[in-house]
Amino acid sequence: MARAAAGALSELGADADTQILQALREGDSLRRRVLLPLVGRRAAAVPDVMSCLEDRDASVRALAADTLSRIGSPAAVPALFERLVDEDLRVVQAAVGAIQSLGSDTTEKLALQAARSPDVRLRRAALRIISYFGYSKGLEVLLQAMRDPDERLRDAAIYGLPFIEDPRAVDALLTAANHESERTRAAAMRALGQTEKEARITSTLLRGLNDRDPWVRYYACQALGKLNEEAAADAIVALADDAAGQVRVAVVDALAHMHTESAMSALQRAAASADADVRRAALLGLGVGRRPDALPVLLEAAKSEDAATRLVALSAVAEYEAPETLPALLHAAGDGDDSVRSAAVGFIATRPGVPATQALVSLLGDMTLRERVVSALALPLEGRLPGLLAALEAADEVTAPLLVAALARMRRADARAALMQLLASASPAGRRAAVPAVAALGTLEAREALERASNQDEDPEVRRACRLVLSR
Amino acid sequence: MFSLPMSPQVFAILAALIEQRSGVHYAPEDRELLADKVVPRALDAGFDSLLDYYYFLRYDPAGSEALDALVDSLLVHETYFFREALPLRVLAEDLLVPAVRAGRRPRVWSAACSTGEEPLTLAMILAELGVLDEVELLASDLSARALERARTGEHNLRSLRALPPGVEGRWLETREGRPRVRPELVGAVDWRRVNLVDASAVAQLGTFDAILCRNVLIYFQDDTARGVVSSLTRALAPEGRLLVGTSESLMRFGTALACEERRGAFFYTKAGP
Ligand SMILES: C[S@@+](CC[C@H](N)C(=O)[O-])C[C@H]1O[C@@H](n2cnc3c(N)ncnc32)[C@H](O)[C@@H]1O
Repeated sequence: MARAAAGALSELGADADTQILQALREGDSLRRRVLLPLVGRRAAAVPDVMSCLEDRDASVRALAADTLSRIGSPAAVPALFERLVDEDLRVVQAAVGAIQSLGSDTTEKLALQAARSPDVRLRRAALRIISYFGYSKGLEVLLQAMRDPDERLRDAAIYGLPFIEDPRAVDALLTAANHESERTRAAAMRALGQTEKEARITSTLLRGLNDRDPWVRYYACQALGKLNEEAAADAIVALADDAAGQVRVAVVDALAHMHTESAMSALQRAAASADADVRRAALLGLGVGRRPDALPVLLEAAKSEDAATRLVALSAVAEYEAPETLPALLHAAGDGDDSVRSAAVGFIATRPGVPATQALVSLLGDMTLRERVVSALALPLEGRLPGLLAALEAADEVTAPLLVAALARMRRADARAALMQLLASASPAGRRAAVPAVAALGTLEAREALERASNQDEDPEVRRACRLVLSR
Repeated sequence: MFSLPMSPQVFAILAALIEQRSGVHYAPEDRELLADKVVPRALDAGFDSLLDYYYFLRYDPAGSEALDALVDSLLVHETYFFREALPLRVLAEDLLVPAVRAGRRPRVWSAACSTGEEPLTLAMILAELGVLDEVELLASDLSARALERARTGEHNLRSLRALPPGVEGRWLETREGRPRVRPELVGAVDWRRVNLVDASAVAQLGTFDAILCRNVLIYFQDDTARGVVSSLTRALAPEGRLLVGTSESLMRFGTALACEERRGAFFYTKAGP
């Protein structure tokens, strides 16, 4: 409903905007919540949206931050910094997100200033912003935060260090990898996975594999995988039976990045593990590589008992351009589990080509999927138009209007031309369904085509429908 | 990088974990709703990937408790006094009072009591009929948070929206904008935390003359609901009654219980001895 309202309002244009801003000014939280998503992208809106940053309802404050980021006004940045101390975490998150997406000349100064505040939460948020932009002047505050007794602040600093280009940042991470706190060591291992490969980093990560804390081992494994450190493959495989489940999973995840034969066969073995999480991690990993020899394993897993496993396998199958892919996805679109079904339609929806279009058309019979399938058919991908036109040559009373709706929703010149063409080429049901859509085009050519059909079409229903729309 | 994306894969495995723990099912369209609840918790616990957070819930020694807290934040506790009250009246007048007259002490269990309005409504009806002390009332929910509220006897004004005349002042009073139920009513109920999908926990409660399981099966998938209904059926005494919400029906599940209508109220009855 909100989307429909937004569409209607955006067509009304600036006038509606003025009214919305007026209503925002009145200060009613409930109305603000409804209206903020409808505010147009105009600089004139900024002051009124900014005043919503002070609303007493936290969700309005968060929405105001999102809206400012959407409008794209860097002038709002200082006000957004004020919200980094909001009592509600969602507002802080939204403000950080907006500051990051807006950027501005003042952001660096404000962030560095906030990073020196005595308020730990403000400092943490500031560190996130500094990391995001990779301000080199931020290195000092990050290093200082690394020495702070507050664990979370150290976390935030470690998180940011890989994004600062300076050898001292790596030095600090390597030091943190030996910190007495497990959480800090784990964060350091995770961050090392974001750096460039270097011998001293690899050896620190290899040591991390033997840490007594499972999360340190977990992130060390993960990082070695991300760095594609094939020399570590054996050390990683050695953890395949680790006592901690998350480490066993991380082993599989890391192996997926490596292209050695032993890594591949370990992955294949993991895909048959008794532990569902290990199995799923292996399937995800096998998909990442898109190796042809992994496809049979994935297709098999797409028939697993467990719905979440089927979905994970299917998403890996969807990455392949193989003849087996589309039939597998189509089969899954009839799965008993709604998540699997919906994901399958999603995967088919983004595939170009006539066969994918035909597959979608064949799903129109399923009432539960219909709306999503029509939206998918309306995506202007390669193969959609010919696929839809071909389907309309034989379409019946039920599918014809849906196919026409998809064409009409495409809103492109070639789709409009295709609609006109339908009046000549489609099945009787298809021609009938096309009449109102062609009329809605409102062009002279459309009118002429309708007039022609109103006289010449061999189907009396089509002629009648044409006369009806022409008489309006 | 302050909000975390939830891919369909991570949604599926998280939703499966939540469903396994609580029975509550999340459909794909609920992805954002779930993300809204999960993301702040994941960030707060120091994770920057929801998959990592999932492994934390699943494998870390502290994960189980964190999962309970997450589930608790997801549960819908919507309820109010005298909601669907007719079946409770009929149960009290036609079945519980006669049982008491016959010298028995019937046991009734409100199996998803939320913040307590449902069992307290029954307690008010029984008190009105003068048999509250002769009926044993057990009320349970999965949510520790909801139970905590129930035990205090404090409610919110919205819970009064269907209150019949004569209750306020007699069984509850509103002080400083907060309705409070008379302590003897709250004290007449034995409040416990029970997970309905845990069949062994249900079996430990003994047998009941009536079980209220209203407006909770709707959150479960059919298979889960079927499992819950059969453990509740086992927990019914011979001729015991199961009450579900007015918009719910057990027909879909092919239950062994017989549907019975009394004065416009529907009960599912277990066969006699
Ligand atoms: C909408 S309330 C219904 C309250 C009351 N029975 C009524 O009809 O008004 C649903 C309750 O079911 C509880 N619930 C959900 N899953 C449960 C489970 N697996 N075990 C026990 N209670 C559960 C929720 O915590 C919530 O309080």
